[in-house]
Amino acid sequence: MIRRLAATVRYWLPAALLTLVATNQLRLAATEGLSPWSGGGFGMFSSTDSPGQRHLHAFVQNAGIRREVALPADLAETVRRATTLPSRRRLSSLAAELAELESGGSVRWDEIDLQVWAIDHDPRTLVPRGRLVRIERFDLDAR
Amino acid sequence: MINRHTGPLVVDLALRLTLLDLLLRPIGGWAVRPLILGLAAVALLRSRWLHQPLLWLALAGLAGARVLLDWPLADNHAYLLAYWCLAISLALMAQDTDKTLAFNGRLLVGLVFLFACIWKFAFSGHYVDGTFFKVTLLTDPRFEGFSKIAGGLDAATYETLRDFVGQHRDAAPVIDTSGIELPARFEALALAATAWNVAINASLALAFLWPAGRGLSRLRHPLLLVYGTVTYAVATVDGFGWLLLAMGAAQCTLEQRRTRLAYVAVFILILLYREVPWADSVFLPLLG
Repeated sequence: MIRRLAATVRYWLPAALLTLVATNQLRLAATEGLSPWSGGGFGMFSSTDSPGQRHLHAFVQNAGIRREVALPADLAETVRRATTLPSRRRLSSLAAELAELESGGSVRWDEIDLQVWAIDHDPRTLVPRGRLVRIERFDLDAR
Repeated sequence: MINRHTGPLVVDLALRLTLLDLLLRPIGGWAVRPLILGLAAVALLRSRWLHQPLLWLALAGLAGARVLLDWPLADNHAYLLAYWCLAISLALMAQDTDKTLAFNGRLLVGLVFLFACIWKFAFSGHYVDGTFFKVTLLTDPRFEGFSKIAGGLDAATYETLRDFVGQHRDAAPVIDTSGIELPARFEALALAATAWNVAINASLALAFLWPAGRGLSRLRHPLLLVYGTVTYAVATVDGFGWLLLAMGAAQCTLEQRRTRLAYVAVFILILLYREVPWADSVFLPLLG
C-alpha cells in the first residue's frame, strides 16, 4: 500500500495538499471566524467579508470605568492578522500587547475586551450592519 | 516517454508561463522575494535550469514559506503557486513528464473552482442573491471604472452609493435609507455579474474534474480561455489568472498549436489589462 502510494505520489500529492488546506480553511472559517478570502480555501470574491472590511475594538475596564483603547499604528500588522483569523490565542497575544501599552497610566485595569467586527449588508436595501465575529475578554490580573 | 533535455517540449510553455507569472507578479516579503525572482529569471533564461526538478522544488518551498510567514494573510495565489511548483517538480522527476503535469494541472484547476463554488453556493450567505456584487462593485476600487461604465453611474451617484454601503455602523440597527435607490442598470449589472460567475465557476469545475477526453472535459480549454479573457478585464488579479493559464497550457498536446497560441494570447491580454487602465483612462474620458 505504502509502496503504491509512493509510486503514484506525483499524481496525488499537490491535489491532496490543496484539498487538505482548503478543507481546513472551511473549518477555520466555521469555527474560528477566519475571513473567507484568506487561508487557501479559494473563497475570495465570494463574500464581502474580506480582511480589509474587518475591524477591531478594544476596551479596558475595571469596576467603575470602561474605556476604548486607541490602536497604535505600529500594531497594524498584528491587528490585521487578528481580525483575519480571530482565534483566542491570536487575540490573547494582541491583548497582552495592548495591555502593556496601557499599564503605565494612573488607572489599574482589571480586564480587556477585544471585539472583531465584520460588515454585512441587507440584501434588499444594502443597509450596512456590523456583525460581531468574535468577542474575547482577558483578565489582566492574571498576567 | 519524454526526453526532458532536448528541444522544446509540450510542457515548456507551461513552465515558461509559470516563470513569467513569478516575475511579473512576484510574491513574498524581502526574505523570499529576491530568491524567487532570481530562480525564476535564471530558469527562464537557461533551458537546463528550466527542467531542473530541484529548482521547482525550491520555488515550491519558497512559495510555501511565504504562506507560513504571512499566515493567515497570504492570498490564494501563493498557495496555488506552491502546489503548482511542487507538481512541476514531481513531473520533471517522472518519466512521463507531460502526462503527469497535465494530470496535475487539470486536477488543481478543477479543485480551485470546486472550492470556489463551495464558497459561493454554500458558505457565503449572500452571493447567489447578488448582494456580493452590488456591494463589491461600489466598495472595491478595482471595480470603480467598470461600475461607472457598465453600470451607468456618474461620479456623484457612484460616490453617494459608495459612501452609503461603506458606512461604519457597529451595533447601530437603524439607518435612514431615504434617497438611496440603486439605479436599475447598476442592479442588472450586479445580477449579470453574479450569474456569469456562478455559471463559469461551476462549468470550469465540472469540465476540469470530468474524466479526460470525455464529455464536458472537451470544453475545458475554451472555458478557461473565455474565463481569463472576460474575468481579468474587470478583476485585475493578474497573477492568479496567469497561473490558471499556465495550468491550462500544460494540458495541451503538441498538435494543439492554436490552443497553445490562444493561451499565450490571453496571457498577454491580461498583461495589457494591467498596464492599460482601459476603464479609467480610455472609456471614462470618452464618455465624458
